[in-house]
Amino acid sequence: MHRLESHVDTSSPTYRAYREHNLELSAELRESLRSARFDRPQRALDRLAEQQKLPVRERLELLLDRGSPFLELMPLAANRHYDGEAPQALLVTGVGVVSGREVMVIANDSSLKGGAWYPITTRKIIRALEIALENHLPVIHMLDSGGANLNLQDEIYSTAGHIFQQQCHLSARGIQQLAVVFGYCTAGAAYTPTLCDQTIMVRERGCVFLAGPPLVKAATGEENTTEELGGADMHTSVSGVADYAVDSEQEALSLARDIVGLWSRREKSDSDRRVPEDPFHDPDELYGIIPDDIKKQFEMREVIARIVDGSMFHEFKPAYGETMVTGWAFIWGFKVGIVANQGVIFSEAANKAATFMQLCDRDGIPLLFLHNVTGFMVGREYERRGITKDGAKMLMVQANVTVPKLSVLCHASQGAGNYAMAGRTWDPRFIYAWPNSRSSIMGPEQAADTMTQVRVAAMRRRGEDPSPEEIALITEEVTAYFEATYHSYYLTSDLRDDGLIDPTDTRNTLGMSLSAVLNAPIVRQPGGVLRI
Amino acid sequence: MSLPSKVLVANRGEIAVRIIRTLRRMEIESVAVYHALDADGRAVREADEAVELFGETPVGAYLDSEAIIAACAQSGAEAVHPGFGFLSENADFAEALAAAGILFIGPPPDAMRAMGDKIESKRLAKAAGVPTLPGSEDAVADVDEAIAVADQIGYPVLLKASAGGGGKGMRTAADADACREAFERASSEALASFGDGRVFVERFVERPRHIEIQVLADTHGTVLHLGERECSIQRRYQKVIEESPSPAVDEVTRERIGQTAIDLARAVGYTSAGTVEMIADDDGGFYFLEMNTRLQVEHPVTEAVTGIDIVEQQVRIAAGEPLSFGQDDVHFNGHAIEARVYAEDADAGFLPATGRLGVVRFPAGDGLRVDHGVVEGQEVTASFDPMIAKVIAHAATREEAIERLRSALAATVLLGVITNTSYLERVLASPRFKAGDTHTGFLDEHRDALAPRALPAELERCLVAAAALASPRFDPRLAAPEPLAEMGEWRP
Amino acid sequence: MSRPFEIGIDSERSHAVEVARHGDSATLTIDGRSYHGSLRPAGDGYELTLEDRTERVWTYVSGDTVWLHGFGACWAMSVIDPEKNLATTALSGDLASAPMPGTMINVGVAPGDAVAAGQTLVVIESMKMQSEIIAERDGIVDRVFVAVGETFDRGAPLVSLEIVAEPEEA
Repeated sequence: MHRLESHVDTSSPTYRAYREHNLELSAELRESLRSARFDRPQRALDRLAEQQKLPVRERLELLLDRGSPFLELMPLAANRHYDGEAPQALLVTGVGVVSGREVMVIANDSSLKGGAWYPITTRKIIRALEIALENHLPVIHMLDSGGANLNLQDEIYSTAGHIFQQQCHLSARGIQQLAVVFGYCTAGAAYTPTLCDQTIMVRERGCVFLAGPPLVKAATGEENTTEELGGADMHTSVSGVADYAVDSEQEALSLARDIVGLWSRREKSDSDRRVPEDPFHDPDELYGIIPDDIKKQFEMREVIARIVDGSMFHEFKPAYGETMVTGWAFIWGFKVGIVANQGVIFSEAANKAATFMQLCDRDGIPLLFLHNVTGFMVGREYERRGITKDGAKMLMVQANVTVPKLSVLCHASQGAGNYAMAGRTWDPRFIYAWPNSRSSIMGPEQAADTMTQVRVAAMRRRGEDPSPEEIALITEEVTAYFEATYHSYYLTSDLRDDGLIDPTDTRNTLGMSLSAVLNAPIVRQPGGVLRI
Repeated sequence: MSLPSKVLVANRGEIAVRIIRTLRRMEIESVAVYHALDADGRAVREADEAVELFGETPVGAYLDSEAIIAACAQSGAEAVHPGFGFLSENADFAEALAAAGILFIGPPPDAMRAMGDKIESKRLAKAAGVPTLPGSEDAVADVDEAIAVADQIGYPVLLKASAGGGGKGMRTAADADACREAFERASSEALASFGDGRVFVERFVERPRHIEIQVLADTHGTVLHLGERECSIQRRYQKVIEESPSPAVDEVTRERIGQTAIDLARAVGYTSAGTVEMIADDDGGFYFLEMNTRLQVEHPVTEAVTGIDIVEQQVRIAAGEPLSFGQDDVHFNGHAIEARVYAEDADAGFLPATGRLGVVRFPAGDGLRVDHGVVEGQEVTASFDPMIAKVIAHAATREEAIERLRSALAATVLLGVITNTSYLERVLASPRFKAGDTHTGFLDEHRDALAPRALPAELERCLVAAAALASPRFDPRLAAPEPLAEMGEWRP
Repeated sequence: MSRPFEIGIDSERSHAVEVARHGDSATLTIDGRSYHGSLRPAGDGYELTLEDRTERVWTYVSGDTVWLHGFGACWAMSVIDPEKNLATTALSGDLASAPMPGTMINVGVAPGDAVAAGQTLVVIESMKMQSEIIAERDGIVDRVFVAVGETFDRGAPLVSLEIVAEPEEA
């Protein structure tokens, strides 16, 4: 292992231009996060106060250990959906520390729309539970939601049921779940606390029932108050649906912390942990390294040097397949195998990556994929040499490794290159994206070119003759569509990643992610390593 | 007559340990007696043998003469050292031992009886030429006589129970009306506490120093004194700090009062170690208080300054040996101060404290002596008196001795029971004490000045931090896993 | 990290404390401000470090009391769980307990008796001094815990009054 050398010239005009651009992106990200988390109309906050409810962020602070880190996941969910009606999809989720244990927290945000579920909300919950299942993280549900947004019931109902199945699977896998009911928990959602190991309810506020008083009255004529029908005292002393009734949210959270403190701690998989060390090269310089244009290239080793412990890296097969950088490093003391793009993927690069992944799998070393790829190499020579065969070998190995995979979209991540690098559809345990990143089938220009050609040809076949302006319009349309749908903010809005992160937060994010993934055992599979 | 080969120590706690220590040095076998509560105590551990005593109360066990004599028979002990308190001034016990053929390491029973009665002892003292406080010759018959005597000697007066001790049955009066009430109180309390309601009247000295002379007398007619101790620092008539020599006594005075003590001892045919207690007023007047016919708690300061082991001398004297040195051979080197460490909360009205002594670490070093009978892990209960240890510092000068004792107290670790070590330190640090401006009302007079000082904020924080880190409530099992703990509060 | 507790040095001074441990050191938050500290074994005691202050200390933990020797004195600190003081706390004065260890000399009341504030409930003796234990408020005697002649330790319950339920604070 040796320390990577930096060849970055911090005084060059390029560096400075990039830096200015990325600092703006960073500021924009910070502001977007702040706004999504905290901007609420005053009347919404007033209403919460009237209901004697704490805002979800305050609940979170009371739950989590003071002075501990919290990795919020998918914080910008729905930022480009539903006309901004549902910031964060009205749900906060993330990995945090409660009474010394790493847990997944899933909390409704009832400040708007009564905390209703939107389609992205259900998908966010499902993703959070999936992470919990794969990484054996106990789950704490903080429930306070009026239920599904019936105007969008179709998209909600098509996925929501999965949540409760996941809860059952969590339980079967020995993963603890705790529910704290701060408000409404109705209809299907009533199953969440009931499927949890333990449930705490706040009197006069929390209520669990399959149908609330109005629906019951409509159905059978029976009249009830919410407390009678599904309040804390009833459920903790009569029905047994819940276990603890408390008078205040503070008490509920204190009790929750007590309960979590009694859970046995997980033994983590061994990943050869070392004493952590800050990177030798300044992570702040990342702002000047990442280009201001998606088509421009940069040296991936400079990025690695600003993420890993001590900037120390052992590169595997450096002289072969140079468009992939593979090697081992430590992040926050955890050993990882890094697979990073340095250009278009050629056969040798894909083969090197496949071989490297086998080595990591054999040794139980988690894999980290750093994306900056537009795809595999195209052209006759490469097709004849079997570029897809070599790509397939990389895909086959990557799909079947037993070690956890983590991905970070550092810049471009397109086409099959995204697949090979363990993009979202290849089920990495965690996947993050930098604000400058872009991901789609192909680049907008390429797509616009192609689509314009196709459409113009079709028009001509129909006997139309588009003017240059009309052609330009087609190009614009396609470009606009691609640019909208390959943008990092759009993708994160649609939960194609587990969160947008600032480049300088990559190290901590990965540190927490690595800590989380090691809660699940790594089951090594024997089998020879092929020198592919 | 030769030294006994085996001695039974009829006591407990630190004094039993201290006596056993000398016996060991003299190569005499030791037998400890103990009540079940003291079964794991230091005395039992250090003695060569131990015999259990039984009683309705723990104190009762140690007062059981018959059982102790039986223990002697059982163990073959030829002599008994009674320590102080318990049976040490019980003439009947001394006689019972003699009847059983067991040597009593202490004075003759007659001398004990004579000095045991306050009125009688005062009469003897006066006859021996020891200055005494003006007052009634005998117990006053009634309140009117009390007032008559008071009028005669002048107010303020002190009404004292004849059979009393330790401040019980004592009341002062500044005028006739107060005298009337004081008489009622003193006699009823004396009756209740000692079964003897007799009260006598004497002049009350304000702000007296308590000064006592250690005497040593053998069975061959030699009586000498080992200098004086000042024990003015008292709380509710319990001594707290004692020193030798007294800052108020010079060589000439020492010879004078020493001689009177010798005269008294001789007059009653005293042998073994004894202490003549006096009070001194501001004008250099010394007045007889009482004579204690036993080893005194504060004897270590005399031992430090004279280099003489008083317990050893007691054993030799009891065995019939003549003292191997004369008055001219007794020299006084430097200054020694003793502080009594009590299990009490000095910051909360000196309420007695109980608990388990989880950690015990006494300081050691040049010029330091610690007499204690505690063992780490033992329970300190309300059953016995609350003195845990005596810390004695000896140095060339009084200032040095004060400093040495202060640092020793600061370094004394007694955890699990509240003790008065900090309070003692504050007393020793007080300018008035340093100036030697001591009298029996010292602690009351300077009560405010001796109150604990406010802690600097930084110090409080350190204490709080240590408590948090040591307490299981701050459970390390609840610590975040690494590396999350090192990340601190990171929220992207 | 632990939830906050209070640590009291005596009845007047108490501080809110939280501890976040990492390895053998910790971040302590005392009254809202954070400090770096550790308590490491050293010799037969410990070495306490808080920021740049270091001190040899001895500790002894007994229940909720942490005894400490350091800085030239012995200290007894109580660890108090502030959440135990929530909700159903009895009215003060419901329980008369022994201010010091001693023996019960006289019991002047029986269960069911009505007592007035200031009335003597029992007389105890300690260190050969008698003290009267008086009722802190009007009430009805619920229980007498110690009989004449029995001994008790400091803090032991002596007499309790029937609890009068108070409306819970909002």
